[in-house]
Amino acid sequence: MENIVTIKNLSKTFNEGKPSEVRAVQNIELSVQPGEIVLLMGPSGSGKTTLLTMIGGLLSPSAGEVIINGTNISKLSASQLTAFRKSDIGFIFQSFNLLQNLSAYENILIAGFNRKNALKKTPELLAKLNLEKRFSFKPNDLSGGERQRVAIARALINDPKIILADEPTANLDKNIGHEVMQLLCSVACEQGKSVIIVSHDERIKDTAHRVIYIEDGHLVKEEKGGHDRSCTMNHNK
Amino acid sequence: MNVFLIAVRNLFGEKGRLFITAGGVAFSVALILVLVGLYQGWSAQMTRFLGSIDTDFWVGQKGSRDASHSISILPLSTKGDLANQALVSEVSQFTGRQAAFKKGDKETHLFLVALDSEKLIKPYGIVEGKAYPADNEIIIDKTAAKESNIKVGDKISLNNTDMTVSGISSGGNIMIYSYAFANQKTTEKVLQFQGFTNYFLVKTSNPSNFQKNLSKEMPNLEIIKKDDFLNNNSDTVRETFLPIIGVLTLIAIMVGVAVIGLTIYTATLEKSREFGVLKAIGYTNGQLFLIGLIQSFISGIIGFLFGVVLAFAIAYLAMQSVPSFIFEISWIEITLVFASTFVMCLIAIFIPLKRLFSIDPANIFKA
Repeated sequence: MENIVTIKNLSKTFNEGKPSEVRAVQNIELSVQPGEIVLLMGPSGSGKTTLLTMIGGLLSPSAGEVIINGTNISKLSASQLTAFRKSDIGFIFQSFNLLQNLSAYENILIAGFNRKNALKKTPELLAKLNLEKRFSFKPNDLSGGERQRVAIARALINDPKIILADEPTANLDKNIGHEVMQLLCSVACEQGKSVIIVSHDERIKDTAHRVIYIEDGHLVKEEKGGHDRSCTMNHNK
Repeated sequence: MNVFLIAVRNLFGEKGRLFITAGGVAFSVALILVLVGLYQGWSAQMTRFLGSIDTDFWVGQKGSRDASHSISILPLSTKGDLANQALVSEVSQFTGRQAAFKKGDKETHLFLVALDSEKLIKPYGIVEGKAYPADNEIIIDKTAAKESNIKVGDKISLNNTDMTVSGISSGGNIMIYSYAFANQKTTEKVLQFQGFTNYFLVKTSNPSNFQKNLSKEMPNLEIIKKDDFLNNNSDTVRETFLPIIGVLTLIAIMVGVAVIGLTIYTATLEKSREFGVLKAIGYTNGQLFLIGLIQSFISGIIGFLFGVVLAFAIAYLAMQSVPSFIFEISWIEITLVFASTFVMCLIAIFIPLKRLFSIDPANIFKA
């Protein structure tokens, strides 16, 4: 099966050559398959968010390659990267990062770059994520779980191949966190999207196919997660 | 469409900021409109009365050019010489000079004009009383009447001559003084100006040939076409007032630019994270610029509308408390101020532009 994400010898050094030089990511090799949920774990400052940021095309690597769906995004121009993020990546953040002055419906709608499609799909996503009754609510009027569900809907509106989630359960209680992970799980299994999650939350291990440990910018260990791999297999059939 | 939605929601989601931005623009627009209205009003008023005099030429002493500054004094005998010129159909005399009267401690400045026997000269409009005063009677402008609290029938003393106010006229206020009217005999007595006049008003059947002929025949006279004479009078306002208006308008525009620019700049700082999110999910710098531009334009339009209302309110109050205050504005000037508001908004968006473009979407991963 062809990888959706292939990372080759990826490094990122901040303030290179200066006394404050930080080697955030060093020589990482990684591949992710369609429909796979990969959990990146490690202590704070280990480089996992930097890695996620580079996969998302928001940060350019100091060395190495990030190949998404056959395209080496490390070689794309800024405008090409913007277009790539628009079509291929969905982002989910720890602090939700919804636009405060927009309603739940509008937060999802404005992320859709094909307006006709977005107008059709936004109500569907709201219904699917049990947010129909909250469509006109502003983020401040939503609960943490509802906000994260809106963020997930926003990430899905353009039907991206990859979802990148940074600590998606960190600001949520146990039950809501579990609910959010079930949603991401169904996104991977039912829609065949690859989900890469950065988290400290040990409970997420049960949802992931693979757990990758990063320390001091190095990939130090990889282990199988608790997710039933048959989900991926079913999708690929 | 999405950028418009985001811009509108951002703008109306922060009502306090919108109020400050639109308020700043409104004050700038109001200041510009009041200044332009004052300038237009003054310019028009300078020639309103003079323009109503039906003549082809103003003939004065060599070197004279207007009614206010250059003093033209000609002997009345010149009237006969002019009347004998070919192509002349009518000659009348214009006699007038500044004079002041006091009521209580307040001194009111008038430009007393003698009404001619040919009745070419008459007040621009009569709002009360007689249109033609008898001996020792005077018609004063409504602004002078209001400022000095004078009514028809009241008495004033002008150059030690007691006169009765027999009428109130309109259209004669030019801020530094207002036109007043008396008959020829009374004017000569008040101004102590017997045997002389200031200008002759000449009507002719062939203006171009008349000017050519008269220049040859009477080279010591200044022959000024009516339109040129009116322009010379307006120049007084243009030359003294326009540069000041220009500077003040520029300051008002700069204030408007600063208010819009700085409020959008602070909004950009506060919304850096949201703009970062938009960049991350695929919005280009151009689209973010458009969001700022739409916000700037909407603030500008709201501010402009309030500014127009504010300008008329200020002008109304000013005219009530200062009768000599003149405010006249046309749709052309309002449209031009609207266009300058757009320019203001366009310039303002460049203040936060660098900050907007430098937002790093990678920073949104920082909790």
